[in-house]
Amino acid sequence: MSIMKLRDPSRELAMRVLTEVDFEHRLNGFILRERAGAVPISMYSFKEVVSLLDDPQPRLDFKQLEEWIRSVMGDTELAIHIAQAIRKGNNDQERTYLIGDLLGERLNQCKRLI
Amino acid sequence: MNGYAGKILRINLTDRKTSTIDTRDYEQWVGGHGMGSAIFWDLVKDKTISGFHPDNVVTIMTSPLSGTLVPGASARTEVQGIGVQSSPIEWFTRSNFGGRFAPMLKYAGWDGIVIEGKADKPVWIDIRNEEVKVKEAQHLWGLDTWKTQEEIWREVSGRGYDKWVELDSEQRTTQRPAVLTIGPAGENLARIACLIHDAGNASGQGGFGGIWGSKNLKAISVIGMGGIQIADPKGLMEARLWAQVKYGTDLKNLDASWFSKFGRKKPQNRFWDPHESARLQACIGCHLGCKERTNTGFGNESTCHETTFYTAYDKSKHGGRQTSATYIATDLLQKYGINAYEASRGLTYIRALQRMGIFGSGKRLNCDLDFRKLGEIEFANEFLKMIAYRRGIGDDFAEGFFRAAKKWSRLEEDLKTGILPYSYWGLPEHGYDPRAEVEWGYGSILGDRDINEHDFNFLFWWPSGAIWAGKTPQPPAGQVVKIIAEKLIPYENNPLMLDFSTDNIYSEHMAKLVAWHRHYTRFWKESVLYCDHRWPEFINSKVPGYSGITGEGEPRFFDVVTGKKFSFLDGMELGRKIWNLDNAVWTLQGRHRDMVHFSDYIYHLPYGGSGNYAMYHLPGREKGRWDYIRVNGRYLDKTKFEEFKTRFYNLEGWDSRSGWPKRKTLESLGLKFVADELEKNKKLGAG
Amino acid sequence: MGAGVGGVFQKLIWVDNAIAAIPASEGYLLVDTKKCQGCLSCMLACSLVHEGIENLSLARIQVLQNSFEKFPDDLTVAQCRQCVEPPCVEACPEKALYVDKKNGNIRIVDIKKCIGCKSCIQACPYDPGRALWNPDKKKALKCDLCSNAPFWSEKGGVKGKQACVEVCPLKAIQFTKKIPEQKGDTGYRVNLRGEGWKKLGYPVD
Repeated sequence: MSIMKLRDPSRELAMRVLTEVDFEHRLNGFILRERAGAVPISMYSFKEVVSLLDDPQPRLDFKQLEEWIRSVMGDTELAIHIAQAIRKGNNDQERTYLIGDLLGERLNQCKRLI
Repeated sequence: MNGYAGKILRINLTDRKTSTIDTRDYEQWVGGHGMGSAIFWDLVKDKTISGFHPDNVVTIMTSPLSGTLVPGASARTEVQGIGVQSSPIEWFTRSNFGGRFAPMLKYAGWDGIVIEGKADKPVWIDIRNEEVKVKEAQHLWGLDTWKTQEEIWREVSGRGYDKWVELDSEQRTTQRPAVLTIGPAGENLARIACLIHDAGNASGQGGFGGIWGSKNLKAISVIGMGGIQIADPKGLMEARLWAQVKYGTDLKNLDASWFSKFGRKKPQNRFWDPHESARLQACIGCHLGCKERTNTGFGNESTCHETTFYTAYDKSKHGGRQTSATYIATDLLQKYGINAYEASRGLTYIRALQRMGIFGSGKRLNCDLDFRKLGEIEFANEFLKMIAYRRGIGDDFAEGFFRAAKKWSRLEEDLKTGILPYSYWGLPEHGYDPRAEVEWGYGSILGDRDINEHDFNFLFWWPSGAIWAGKTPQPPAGQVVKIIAEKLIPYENNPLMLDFSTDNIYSEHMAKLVAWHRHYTRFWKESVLYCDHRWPEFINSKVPGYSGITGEGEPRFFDVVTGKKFSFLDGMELGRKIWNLDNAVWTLQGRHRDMVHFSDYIYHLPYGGSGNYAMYHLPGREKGRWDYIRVNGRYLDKTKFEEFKTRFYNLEGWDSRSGWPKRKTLESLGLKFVADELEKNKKLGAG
Repeated sequence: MGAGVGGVFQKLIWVDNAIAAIPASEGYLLVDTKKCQGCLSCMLACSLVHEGIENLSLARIQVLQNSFEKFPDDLTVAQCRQCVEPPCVEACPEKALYVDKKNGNIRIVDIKKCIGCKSCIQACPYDPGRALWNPDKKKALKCDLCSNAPFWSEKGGVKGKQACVEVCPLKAIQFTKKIPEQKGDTGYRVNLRGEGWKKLGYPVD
């Protein structure tokens, strides 16, 4: 399954991606650790989301992530790609990889720009 | 006495006098928690005192199996007393830890230690076989837990441990003393301070570190060269090899243990990126270790949640790469002697407040921690030091983050939104949320603490992982619940006890699961001290039909050591008796059913947000069919929970109006004296 | 010379170009100290099958560890080496610590003859000394490769099983008939980690 490459971000978008958000605009997820259970993770930045998706056992509401990317990060293009990945993934593990790759790519683009 | 040393050490720190309790006086309680609760009942007349009061008694108990070859049941020590961590009442509580302490105490000739009073100056207790000395501890006070132990080792041996250590010309050992100690956090009376043994074993819950600090007790060291009598030595050796072959891990065929607890395919219980090189490390007598010792020396013997304390922040700070900050932060938890759950949930919480703009330098909640350095080792050290030494706002941290939130006038709001995830008795939620895996939350709120007993978690973990990855979980739910249900004596063969669907979680079936869980753990795990990491085992993939060792294993090993023909059911009954005794203590402490409630967010905030992604699956019936059903996205119904409580109290034979034990229940358990005491205090359940 | 001569002469073993007058043991314990998990099950089993009780100080194999040390220096195992030239046998004034020719030449203590002088204990050149002291019986004791393990239903000795080998959950102890290199420790240390160990995520070197 191919997902279109992300276009280069604008400077404004890159700044938003690299900046921490406030409490109201955080994103919540979990990492699962057997015996410790579901460890709640609050993410206040794009890179923390990337970090979570990189974890061996992340759990995240992808629709919520899509909305966060769209309204908090203001990255409509990426949000569309996420929506695509949600549809294309056969299970949440696959979706995690697809979306993790997308976010990783965007993060790198932003870091290179700034 | 087979299995037992025969005597319990009683130490009054106020006058520094030691005396002996005859183990036979408490033999009917078998060991561990049962003995601890019974001794506490007898020695603490006013059970409403604070955990910090000198009259609080701390019991440190072994079991007859401690120090023997019983797999996964030789090494744990049970600590009890009035805790200081829970809120609003400092419940009489428990915490246990592994390693070498319980065996060493038995070899020294003691079944347990009972601590009362308060020393006028810092002291440590030096136990060498039957010789016990209460010694000045000025030179130890202030040292971290690791340095304390190394210093005590130096003092006891005098010349290192590469040769035989001789206490006198006859008594020799090659083993280092087993030391249990507090760090600076306990010395400064933190309510969230622990007792630490070796590098990574901790009695974490209850704040026993602060309690010892309030008693001026720095450490207990024990070295023992004696022996433990075994009723049937041949039988013990046979049983050990039987368990290993039938249920244990076979390194030549690891895949066979894809579904087992007793002998696992992946035995290690650590959650950071592993070291380049390490050894698997086990507690004494354990057939499959869960700890490690590493080539860097960082992270030695730490397991489980403490290994997740700093990982996410470290990786986020360092471009997704884990550094040694992860390991060192965990080691700092151990060295300062701080409860890993409070530290990690607390850090998440204050970070939320920082992002809210109310916490930080010059803010309403003034704190100089530089959150730009979150993920670096200096930040972790600063944060933990604030707790350990009560520096600045750390004075509030040291009270536990629930009390801190209350002091900051944030409690009500933050419990409503759930940003303070403290769901029961002012304690951090464990990770098996009350809204999802109800037996954990129910057991915790109907008891005294986060139960931390993982007996049924595999019902969540294995299917959830498979479903997340798009696979069909094996074995299927219907088969799994049937195998487990067979073992849930005396409520056997009722699979509805394992139906976690929303329709069933308030039912009498679920009440039976919770009751079974409390009784089994009170006896087999907290009294006989079968380790939570390897017991119980319901399912084992090596065995045809998948039936695990539980049911047969526990009484078999108990019998070959003690000679006592205790059936599994006998153990369940004694567990029920101990549970009733504990509820009587809580009743005297002021418990009433009206206060038995989760924090607000449990009743209206859906767990994990929506139920629209693969997160938490458990067995349950939907439209009459068994399956692994999704339970994230739901919350508990407060009214239905009230009804559940009534069902539970009725099942236990407690007055459903108050939750207090009834006379006829107590007397049927041989606890008439308990009923009399409750009646005297006008706290006896009616009917 | 050597094995070719039977009958009247004792069977002589060539080791390190020296003739040992004492016949060599037909059994030895080798340990993988990197594999060992420090559970002391070997010690518990040893004391159990020999004495019928659990007492670490009576275990003929000893595991020493330090929680604060780095792997692999955090742990060592001290098993009796069944030395080709056993100082303990040479030191015993009563020939109580002797070579049991009926049982594969194991160097063992005859407690009926032992007078409790501790010469063997002092003679062992290794730390911690492999000959042990039983303070209750006032006798020495030493690893006998389970040739006399009354509390075990299995047959022990060089032709049988050893409790420590059987009980070790990770199979970190191995019995061998081959004489190990006598100089230093390397002869008695062996790598028993294989594919299973790799699967656990640990190095096999």
